[in-house]
Amino acid sequence: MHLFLQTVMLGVLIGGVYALLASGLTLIFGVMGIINVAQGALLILSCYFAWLVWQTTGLDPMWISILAAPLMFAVGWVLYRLLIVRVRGAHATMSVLLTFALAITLEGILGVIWTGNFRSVTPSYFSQSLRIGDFFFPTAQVYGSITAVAVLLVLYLILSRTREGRAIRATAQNRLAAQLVGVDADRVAAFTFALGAATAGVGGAILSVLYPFAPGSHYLWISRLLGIIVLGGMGSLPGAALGAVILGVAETLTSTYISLKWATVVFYVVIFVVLLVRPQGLMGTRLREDVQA
Amino acid sequence: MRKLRAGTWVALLGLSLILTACGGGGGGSSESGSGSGATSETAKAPIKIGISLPLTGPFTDPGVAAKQGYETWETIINQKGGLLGRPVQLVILDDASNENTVVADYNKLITQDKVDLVLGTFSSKLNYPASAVAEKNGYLYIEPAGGAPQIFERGFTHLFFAQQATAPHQADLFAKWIGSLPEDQRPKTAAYVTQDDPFTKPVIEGVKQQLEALGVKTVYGLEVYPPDTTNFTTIANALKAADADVLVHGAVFEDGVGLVRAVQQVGYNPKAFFQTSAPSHPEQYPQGIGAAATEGIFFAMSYSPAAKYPGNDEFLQVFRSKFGQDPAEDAADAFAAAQVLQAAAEAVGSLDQDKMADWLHHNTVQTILGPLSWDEAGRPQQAFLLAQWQGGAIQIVLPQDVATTDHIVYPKPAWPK
Amino acid sequence: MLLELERVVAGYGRGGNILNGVDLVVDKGELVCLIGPNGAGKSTVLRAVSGLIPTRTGSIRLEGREIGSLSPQALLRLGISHVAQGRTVFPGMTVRENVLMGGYTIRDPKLLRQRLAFVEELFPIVVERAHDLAGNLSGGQQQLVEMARALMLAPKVLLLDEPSLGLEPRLSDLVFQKVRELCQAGVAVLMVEQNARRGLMHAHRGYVLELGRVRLEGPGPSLLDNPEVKRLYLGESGGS
Ligand SMILES: Nc1ncnc2c1ncn2[C@@H]1O[C@H](COP(=O)(O)OP(=O)(O)OP(=O)(O)O)[C@@H](O)[C@H]1O
Ligand SMILES: [Mg+2]
Repeated sequence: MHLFLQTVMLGVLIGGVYALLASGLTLIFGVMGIINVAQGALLILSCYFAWLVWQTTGLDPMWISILAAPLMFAVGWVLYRLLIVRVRGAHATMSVLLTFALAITLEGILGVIWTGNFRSVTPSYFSQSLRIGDFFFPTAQVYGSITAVAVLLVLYLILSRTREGRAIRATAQNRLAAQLVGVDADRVAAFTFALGAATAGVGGAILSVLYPFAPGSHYLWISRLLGIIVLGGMGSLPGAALGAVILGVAETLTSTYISLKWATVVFYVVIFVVLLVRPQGLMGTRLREDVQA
Repeated sequence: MRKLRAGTWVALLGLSLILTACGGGGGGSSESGSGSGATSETAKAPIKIGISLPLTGPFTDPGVAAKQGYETWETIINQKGGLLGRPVQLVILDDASNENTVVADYNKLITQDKVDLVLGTFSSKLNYPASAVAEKNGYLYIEPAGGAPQIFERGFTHLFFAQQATAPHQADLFAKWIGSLPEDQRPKTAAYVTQDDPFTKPVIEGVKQQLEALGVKTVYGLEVYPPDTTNFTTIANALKAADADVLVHGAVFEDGVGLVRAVQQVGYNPKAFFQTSAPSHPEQYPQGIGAAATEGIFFAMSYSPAAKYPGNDEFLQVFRSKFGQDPAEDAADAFAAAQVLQAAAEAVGSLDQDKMADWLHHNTVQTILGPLSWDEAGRPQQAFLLAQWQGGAIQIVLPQDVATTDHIVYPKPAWPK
Repeated sequence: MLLELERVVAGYGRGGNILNGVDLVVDKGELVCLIGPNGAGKSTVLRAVSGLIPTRTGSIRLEGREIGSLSPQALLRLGISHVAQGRTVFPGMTVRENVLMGGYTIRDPKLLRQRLAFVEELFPIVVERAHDLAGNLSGGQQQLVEMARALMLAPKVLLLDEPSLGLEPRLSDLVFQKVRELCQAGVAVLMVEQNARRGLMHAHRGYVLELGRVRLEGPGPSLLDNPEVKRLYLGESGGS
């Protein structure tokens, strides 16, 4: 029983971090209908940012994540204006191709500057654990999950309480109608993409403490994050959070009770089963396709 | 390309061959001078040695190191009047870490450039297909890397691996050392975990077999995790529950760092800890796990700059003056492969590939990695060096004749707080 | 004239012209009904007016001012609201949130509250189902919410695309009644209607659109008597 509880709690902790990483991806898809394959590369970009700042100042990466958010927001905004805007309205495959190219380019640039070597951010607590009774909680994962919850909360407040947030939700639910009430679709798209990049900023800073990273690490993360948002329902933020925690727990339970071999595969097995039963994902709704201008 | 078999992948292969051939004309062969005919006719024609290396792509680091090692050998041998009295010229192509390209490259080197000899490439993944091209064309193939057991299970006669041992025997000295401990100090239990990787898995299987033969009880594993594993906390949790005296881990790199972090987090302290590959990265490893945490961690190495094998001083001196740095292990391995080729050619007195292969099967070659000899399949019969992190530096602890210290940290201290 | 279209040519993206020179006017307080076969370009006319697609040649004027190249946001500010064809509520928002979204461009909270009160009076369902998700309402109820939302900006011109589509007769009558109330209040309404008889019956004037051109026009009731309209759109044979 102790082992079971411990395993579940570890799964929830890691699920919290997964939720943060997936939030930007699902947001961008929900609002723009774009599958941003470069989200993983943006995460790794932010890992390098955290690593640089940590090396030069010794600042705690959890604080760096707060710096990374506005910086990556700006990066996202620029990327949207320069690149993504060109595939607006084109078929989804175009956006996949473009963002994939972006991911590879970022990977290449990072590789040229910092080589293919693995880097690690190791603040004092990176290998420590908090202990409560018989249970242990890796400190970095605890901080990561807390930051994740905070970011998701901020995201929720932005979406529900601000004008920009309402515009984003409206656009996600019905793009045409949003335009008809005066929402500037292009501005919303830029804001959303930038917001998604900002979550990658925070997520990357956290990730840099949890795992070693190299320019090529983004492939692993993007496939996992895509899995999470498919499970949760493409475009649904609560769905992504739920999907992330489910997959986090499924992963730890499998590696503890079944086999390590299945621990990363279970990810895709769960997704497969859920989609058989609910093709729209856990929290996805099937909207009717309205006549669009 | 004479024997085209059906199937689209062959077509693809052909396409990449053509592309490579076109690219090759534009300067892909970095060392080949075009003016060999212009030099005086009386000078002896150079011996051309063809090599394809992963100079770009995922295996860039070892590929570039290997190139440095080969070039160091080229410099030294040409200073001494060449091989069999003829100058040596390396023809090095870039296979971009791609299996199809490496096959196309060796095909081109052998059938089109008509090189006299070839040398091997880097990683098991690339040597596996590349060695088949050489074997098919009757070329001797000495590989500086590629110790996965499957490579030697194809009945090849011209293939030789120029390190001390294949993967299943990489940790032989570690197992022997455990066996040498007095009964009351010897560990009683062991845990085994490895990435599902063609190189690390056989290493761990090899150690497990040997430790079990010594009576060390297996209390966990052998557990195998997939390469995309990032979350090691649950593994560490299970390891702590098993609480084995010895932990043996088959790591590539980031998983090695990940597992060490996780066992620190759960507070599992094995008395001895052996890990493949990851600890041999002198900078990235202590950065990843924390310098203090490295104390006492064992791993296997093929080369040590401190080893007193003949030729090592000269290698170091020329290498440092050429590249302004110390050689990586992969550079030394490549140099050793070239030494093996040189020894065979000099012993036979010609470039007869069959005779050279035959000679290598029956003789021992002195290299900077120590003496090397092979069985009928080209498996080397020696042992890797056993290294250990001590006081923030890598020390060779076994074998005694090349050890850099006679001190072995045991039991391993608890992880730093 | 409040709204004037003169030889308007428009289409989608890089595609061919869908409207091939449309002439049409709507005056203040007027209910104008647009009928025609499927694919004639009726919705396209409304989209051109609300700025969802640009005018290629010709001119659209509001109170004499050229508006053919303005963005939907700018046109909204000038007083043109568009209720599109099909379901266009925000399904994941409550009815009240939907209606408030109609006032997205209003930054003055007091004005926003005033408008909400005005719309609530006109459409009691906005109060009755205020906290239900709009996506859970029936089709007819959603149509009313969409109209309420479009009225939050107190438009001068209201564009309605098949507002009674799929509604039971009682609800459909309610919609027409609301539309007439609006006209009496001075709003100009340009409405596309599939049910030609009912549309023309209520309308001051009517237009018949075919292949992106106006085929016929005239006062609503008199168009109803036109033999061609009778034959094509009212399902009556010319002789009866
Ligand atoms: N978004 C679009 N992109 C390209 N072509 C479009 C688009 N929307 C409509 N069309 C084309 O424009 C033409 C007119 O369409 P429109 O929607 O205006 O017809 P309609 O008269 O409203 O028909 P209905 O009675 O079916 O609503 C059609 O041929 C249609 O295929
Ligand atoms: Mg229509």
